[in-house]
Amino acid sequence: MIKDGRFILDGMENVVINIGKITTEEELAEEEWEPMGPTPKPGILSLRNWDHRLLKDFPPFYAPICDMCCLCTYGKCDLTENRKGACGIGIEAQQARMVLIACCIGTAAHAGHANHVLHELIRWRGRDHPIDLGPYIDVEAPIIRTVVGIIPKTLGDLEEILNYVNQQLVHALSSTHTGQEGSYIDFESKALHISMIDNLAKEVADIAQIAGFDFPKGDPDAALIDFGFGSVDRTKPVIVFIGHYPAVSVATIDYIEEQGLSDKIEVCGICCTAIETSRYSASAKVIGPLSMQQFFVRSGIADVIVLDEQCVRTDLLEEAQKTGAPLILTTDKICYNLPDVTNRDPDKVVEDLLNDAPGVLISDPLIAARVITKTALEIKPKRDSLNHLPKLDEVQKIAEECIKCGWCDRACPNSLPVKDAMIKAKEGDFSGLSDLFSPCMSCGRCESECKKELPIISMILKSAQEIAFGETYTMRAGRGPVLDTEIRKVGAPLVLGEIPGIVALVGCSNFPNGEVEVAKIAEEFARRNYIVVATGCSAMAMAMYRCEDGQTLYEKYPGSFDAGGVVNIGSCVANAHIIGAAIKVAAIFARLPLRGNFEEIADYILNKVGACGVAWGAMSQKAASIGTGTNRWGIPVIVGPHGSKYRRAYISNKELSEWELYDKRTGEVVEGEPAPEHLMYPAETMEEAIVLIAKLCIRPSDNAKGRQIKLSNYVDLYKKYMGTLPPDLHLFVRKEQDIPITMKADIMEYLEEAGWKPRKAIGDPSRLVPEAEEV
Amino acid sequence: MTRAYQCANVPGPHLGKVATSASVAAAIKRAERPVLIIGSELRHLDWALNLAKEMDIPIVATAHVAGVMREKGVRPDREMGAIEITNLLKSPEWGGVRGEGQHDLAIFTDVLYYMEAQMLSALKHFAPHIKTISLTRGHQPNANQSLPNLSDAKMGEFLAEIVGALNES
Repeated sequence: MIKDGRFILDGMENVVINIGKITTEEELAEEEWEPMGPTPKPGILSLRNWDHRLLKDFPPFYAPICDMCCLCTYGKCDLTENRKGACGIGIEAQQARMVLIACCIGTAAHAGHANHVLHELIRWRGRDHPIDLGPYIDVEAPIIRTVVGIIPKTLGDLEEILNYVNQQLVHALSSTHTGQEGSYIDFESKALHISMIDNLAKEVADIAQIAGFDFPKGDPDAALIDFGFGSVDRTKPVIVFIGHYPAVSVATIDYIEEQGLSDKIEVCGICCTAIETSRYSASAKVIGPLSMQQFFVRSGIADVIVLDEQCVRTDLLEEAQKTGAPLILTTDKICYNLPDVTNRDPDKVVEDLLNDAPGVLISDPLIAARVITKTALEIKPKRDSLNHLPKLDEVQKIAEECIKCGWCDRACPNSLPVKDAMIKAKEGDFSGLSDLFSPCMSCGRCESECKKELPIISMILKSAQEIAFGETYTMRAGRGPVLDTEIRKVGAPLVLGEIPGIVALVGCSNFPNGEVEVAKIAEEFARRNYIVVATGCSAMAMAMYRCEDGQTLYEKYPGSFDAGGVVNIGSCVANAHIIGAAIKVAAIFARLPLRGNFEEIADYILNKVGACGVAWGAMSQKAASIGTGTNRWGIPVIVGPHGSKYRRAYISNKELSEWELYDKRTGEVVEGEPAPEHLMYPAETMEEAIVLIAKLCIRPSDNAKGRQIKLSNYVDLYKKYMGTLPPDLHLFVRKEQDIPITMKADIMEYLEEAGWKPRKAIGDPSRLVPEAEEV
Repeated sequence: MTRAYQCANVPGPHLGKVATSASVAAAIKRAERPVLIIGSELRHLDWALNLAKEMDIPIVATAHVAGVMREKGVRPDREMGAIEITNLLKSPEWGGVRGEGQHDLAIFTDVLYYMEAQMLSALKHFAPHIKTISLTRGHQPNANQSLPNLSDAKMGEFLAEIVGALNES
């Protein structure tokens, strides 16, 4: 076998052969799939020009949630009224720094997940386990191709990508140390960079999961999963998995099957682990998004509670103990000061748990699976006699202790009327408490504030028991990536505007008015033939709703990535496939090269792919990095009103901005339009968000027919919620042919009043400086 | 000490004043170009519309409030998101709702409490040319002056007293 090195052949002492690197056949094929673009494995500086262009059109808007910096021992430093901190930092840079820290945390959480799952799968399946996403996906890793410049073929290939991810995280986070970056614009550029890396880590995680766990490979007809408290058969032992990392639930399902116990145990999940588990086994039940954690644990339904990582309540040990359910921790992310019993005899661990040990940490999923299953079977009879919620007459008695101080209302993130509900309950009227079940996120801040220590969450749950325990729904299992065949069908109509847009409902469940609003947004746009995609808690929240005809959204609308589809892509890490779909439009429809070619692809998406992300319940640092990364690819994101607490939005100012674009066909600077108008926008109400989604799907590349369709949706929704024509309509009408025919008379009259003049549509809109000018 | 309505909403060392009906009326009278920003909580819409009419203050309706106003036969001067009007108020060069120059007083009422807190923070830090008053449910420490925490009944009285104080002149 030839190796690299220095060789002297016998008899040819004057000839020295140097072999620097052996190129294998696979590597040759790799080199040939596409020429390498300008920015493979970009560093922090590589795409800075792109970021600065984005930030010129969509400048950061800062709303500090804290006026100080408390990060070093010089502080606390007061940053109000142009004061600088002791290190020299000003308020804008400090906000951007905190945003970057949040995005680094979010990226680290996804990268941690990716590292965990990949290494576990390599242990299970080997480094050579192939990545095969089925016959309908040729462009199988669009983010990896575009950012890193490789096509991963095996699980082992993904390790190289994670090495790059981990390296970028170190650099980005290090720049937040005292005395590093001082410019808010460059902090933002770094936040955009590391959040793109977040997208990359998510793609690695989900591709590994699909390959290693054999999750659905873009199946539009993925199974309908039973959903809700009511779907759980409480006569059987119930195991609930909470978190995001599915190795333990997958191992447990396998173990249950091997032991022939499949019809004897209920497996269910909360948060993204629920979605992942149902991608593996259609018989697993989904309880709901993370807002259901506290409610479900308090219900006492679960006989064993298993935690993995991310977005898990940090007091679940205490909560689990109240219900007599043992807690099993399974990763290094959550340890709760419990003993690590990975190397102890599993049967002894089961014995400990049955003898009142509150919980254990088991870091090997295969061992955890045995302990979880055996414990559930044996503890179930012991727990049957326990009551977990107060009876209704007890709820009334507890309510009588309420002193009506009102701090519960003030502690509630949504200022829900808890006090009034409590006053009603004193009189035996539980409707106030019951009405809180839907909008309440079960965060428990009201209880924590309550001077009388009333168990408010349990009282709400008991009062709403008919809704909470009776309702069952369905959710389509997370299907994974969008198929190339689907992109071939929708690519042209999306770029031309004839499919008016992709609406991506993503992120956590810190909703301002409960889960129902996400479902209503989805329904509004599915009816209008947008492509509605969803992931994570939003995909689950959408399931908790019935349309007028009694069907859930997943029953009523097809799961295909097509006009009028309602598509559950998967968990948080599956968000990567939504950006991936936009990239694939550029690759498959426009035939743009992806390899190491980030700027051109992002520019294409920003100007030509009418997509809008909606993180209506954005809560976590992961949601910050998901949204910011999505922005770097040129996709605008609307967050709910709680998203204003992220401190930063990317808002244009159409009354003061100039919208200049390049026409790539002519190389000229041309008058553009605010399309999209904003890049990161917190909306105050669902109605505002709905109108804005329609507007943010408008793109300069729309043809006249496409623009008519988009404007008819925008105008129709504006009229529905605002009662008139949009006041900025003239900005989006380029020529008469853009005006929807059925609205022509009204709109022409408005345009005349606004002093509108026709302008040319841009042939090939771009924000990248044409090469000739750059020279 | 008056605490923020959402009690953990403590921004830092400099907190706005707790308003009295007289101090609110004085600030409105003193302002040359006030603007009234009406948000989605819709608790005191009629009062706010009446104030705008009586004092000839331009109205910006945030979220979908313009639709609610139109149902009442009122047309707001402008309709835009809370963050959009805040962004405009930050720019000294903006000509204001009526094109008469940037505003010197922004009165917020009924914008979603925690979102309003963020908008007031943005103005506190980045719009030194503008004073802010919050007449939304509960105390907002990011406003120059803001209501104390009042029951619904007391709040109604407080708002009526503002109108009374304005009429005194």
